[in-house]
Amino acid sequence: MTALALIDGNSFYCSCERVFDPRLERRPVIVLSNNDGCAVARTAEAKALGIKMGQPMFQIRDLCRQNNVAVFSSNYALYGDMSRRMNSVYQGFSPDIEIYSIDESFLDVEHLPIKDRTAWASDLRATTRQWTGIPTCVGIGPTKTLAKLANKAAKKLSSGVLDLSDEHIRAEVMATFPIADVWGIGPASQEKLRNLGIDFAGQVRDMDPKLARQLMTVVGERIIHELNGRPAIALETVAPQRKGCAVTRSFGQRVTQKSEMEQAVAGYATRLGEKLRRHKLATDHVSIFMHTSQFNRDDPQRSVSMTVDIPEATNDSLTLIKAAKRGVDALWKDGFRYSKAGIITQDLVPAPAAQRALFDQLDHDKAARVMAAMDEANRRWGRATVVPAAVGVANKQVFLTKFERRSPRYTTRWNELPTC
Amino acid sequence: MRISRIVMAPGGMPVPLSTLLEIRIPLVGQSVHAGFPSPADDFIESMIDLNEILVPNPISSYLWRVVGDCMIDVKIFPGDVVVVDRSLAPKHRDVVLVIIDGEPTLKRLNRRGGVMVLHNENAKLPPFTIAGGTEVSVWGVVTNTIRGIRK
Repeated sequence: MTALALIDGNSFYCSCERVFDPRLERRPVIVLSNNDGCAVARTAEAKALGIKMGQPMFQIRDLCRQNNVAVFSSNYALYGDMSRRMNSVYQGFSPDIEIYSIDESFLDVEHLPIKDRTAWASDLRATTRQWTGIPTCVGIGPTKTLAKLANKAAKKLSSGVLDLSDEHIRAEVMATFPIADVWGIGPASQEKLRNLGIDFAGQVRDMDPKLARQLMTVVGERIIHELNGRPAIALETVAPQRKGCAVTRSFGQRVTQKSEMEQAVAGYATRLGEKLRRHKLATDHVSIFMHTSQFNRDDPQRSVSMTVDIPEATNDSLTLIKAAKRGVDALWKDGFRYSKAGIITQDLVPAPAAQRALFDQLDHDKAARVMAAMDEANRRWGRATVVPAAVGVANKQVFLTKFERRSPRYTTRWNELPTC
Repeated sequence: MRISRIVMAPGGMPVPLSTLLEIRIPLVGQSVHAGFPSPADDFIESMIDLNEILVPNPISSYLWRVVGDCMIDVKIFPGDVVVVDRSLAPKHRDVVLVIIDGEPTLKRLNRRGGVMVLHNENAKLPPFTIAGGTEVSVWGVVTNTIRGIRK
């Protein structure tokens, strides 16, 4: 019988902040999304104040002030490093790991020579807490969906660990487990199920798979199998090759000038190039989009996009910038206040196998050397130390995402180390 | 490797400086453009990695910048960087990073008749005492200090 553990960080972003600023232990903490828009992580104390996931900051500003809530901008350098450390800890506990998201990983338990899975999970949890300071919960089950379910149920236990390998214990937990918390059952499906008098995971498990397929497509059928302990979603220990890649940002302030938009999109193209080079991938097209804000209802609205083809697959930032600028040129219209833009690409190909076009050949070797030097400088001295001139000079950029309340990048910058 | 970047170490062994940025310092094995191949080529070693002694367990180690002066008698000065390993169980005579009522600070950990007590290492400071009800926890154990000596 397969067995998987799902371990995840409790209020992960908030917990990262608390590790390096212990005074926060006594305060409610929230972390805001990009651009300081909405609450995307909340400690238990913040949840108790009624702050909802995704709630916009302007709705809770007074509440936060009155209750001494510590409010942070997202510090992805810190969260990414802590995530990396956590997964390194997990590797000491299981050789097969799927990093599912920045704070969730599946671990293979089936092939471990252990008798007591609960003790193993408790040790995993304690070691993670000790080495990284991050509190976690662990759920174990025969499928991913059941491991997720066990993890969710473990959050209510003081031990933080729940093993649902045993069929009887599983049935007992599922009998009162709400469908809204089952992995993959979205709001629309929940409503359909409730109309049939189905409120709990145990009832979903006993559904006819054909009916589930009718109601919730093939996804629903998969959920039935998974809830019955039959794996329908495999452990992906090797990250699948990226099929697409996107760099999009909301602007710190609205963009009204074409030159500003060109700089912004050139910046995204540069970043896209970096991402592709890191993964040794290339693309032969880029899609550019830009739109105004739906929140400014009185403003004229516009949302446009277009795809620009590149004669041969490349990951050269300068070529990508050229393509992106062509897109901006075609899309741009004065008189709108743009709130967001981005650059997207699909169908990535491995860089070395990128097909050479017969005409309009790019100067590969030279471009590759320039990009390698740029990447190295940026790796050594921090992102965006060296940028193509099209991106503009940092202090003139109006489109940098707002990070007004970001904490120091404690673990990745010499000049931002925590102090004692 | 450009020859101009090589200086002689006291023992006469050439040490290339340009690689210092990388932390890894190759000791032997320079490529030559003409003439005989270097007799050292058969003895090329892996590189010395400062992390091996400074940060033996990088997963659980964190760098902190010292601002306080409570440890100057054991040569931990303001401005120094300390390596703090969270995976180690604190023991008698360790220098530890402790959190005292939410404030991170360095202290010496001593066992006195079965209980662990914390001390400053600065003769000029009054003895360190903790009021009843104070929350104290050990954040990690200091394993190394890093200090540039060329100010």
